[in-house]
Amino acid sequence: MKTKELLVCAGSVLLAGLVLALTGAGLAPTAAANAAAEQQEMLETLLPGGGTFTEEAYDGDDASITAVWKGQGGYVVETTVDGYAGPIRQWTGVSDAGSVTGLVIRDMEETMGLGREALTDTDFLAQFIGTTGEASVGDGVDAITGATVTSRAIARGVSSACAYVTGADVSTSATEWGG
Amino acid sequence: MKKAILSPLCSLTLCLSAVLLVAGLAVQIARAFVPNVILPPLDIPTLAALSLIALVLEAIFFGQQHRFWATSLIVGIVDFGLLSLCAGQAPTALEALRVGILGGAVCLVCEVLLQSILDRLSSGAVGKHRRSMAVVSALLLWLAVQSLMSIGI
Repeated sequence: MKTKELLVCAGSVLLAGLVLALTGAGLAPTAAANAAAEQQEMLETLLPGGGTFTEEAYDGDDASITAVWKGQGGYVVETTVDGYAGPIRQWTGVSDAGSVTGLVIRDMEETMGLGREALTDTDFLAQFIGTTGEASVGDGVDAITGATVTSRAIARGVSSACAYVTGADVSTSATEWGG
Repeated sequence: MKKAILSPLCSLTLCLSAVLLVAGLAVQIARAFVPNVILPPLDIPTLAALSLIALVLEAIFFGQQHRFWATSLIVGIVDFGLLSLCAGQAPTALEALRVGILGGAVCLVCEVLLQSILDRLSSGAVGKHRRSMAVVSALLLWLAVQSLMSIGI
């Protein structure tokens, strides 16, 4: 192995790494500003009329609740529940009366063409809007075809969010596999 | 078409670095300007896709390269580990090491399988369509990876 070849190899990797590191550092302020704006916009969409949202600390028993924002007339609750391929992170808007006002999936690793359909399947997501109490697949909520586990996980997230707002204790059912 | 003369180590390193650079930049731009986009995780199918793209580019631009298998493993570990850390995909050095080892192993397996397929096909009637052969073989391999992952292997 020639020294020149090794230098070419090491140089190409280091150059790529340098470009990535500099780009990341340069885009960091833009990324932070855009993320904050997008978060505020999303919170207002999930809880219309929520005004200014303030993040509240959650110290309850339900391990699936990972963040809570309080707005006027309700809350937006972030839950992370295990799906088929990995954790599903979703935001659920819930009014003070315990009614779901909005739902969006923020992150998931589900199978393309099956569980990942939950991202864009508005018919599935719309089933939760206006519901109160515990959401359950097969009991008023139709699962996405071929993605029952994913559907159940999302329903558990919605149930946890509603329970947080209404004070109901569903921490056990919200963390058990199978919904 | 005249091929550039480079050692098998250099050709793979260059192609893999270029692919990971483009992928890393795409991730950083997406994170900055489309913060709500859901990016694919750095799992086996993603690492396999990146490795196969690099291997196909290598076959197209540098011809079919045969090298000591450990070379691919080392190049994969260094490239995936270092560049995932620089791109912010791996938040810690430990996570970068995990991605590097997994990426190196995936790259090695992909290369062994792809080279075996290309070696087999090159002696047949489709041997003269080397570029198409590499692209189609890599695509089929990636679909196979997806299938194996979906059944839990």
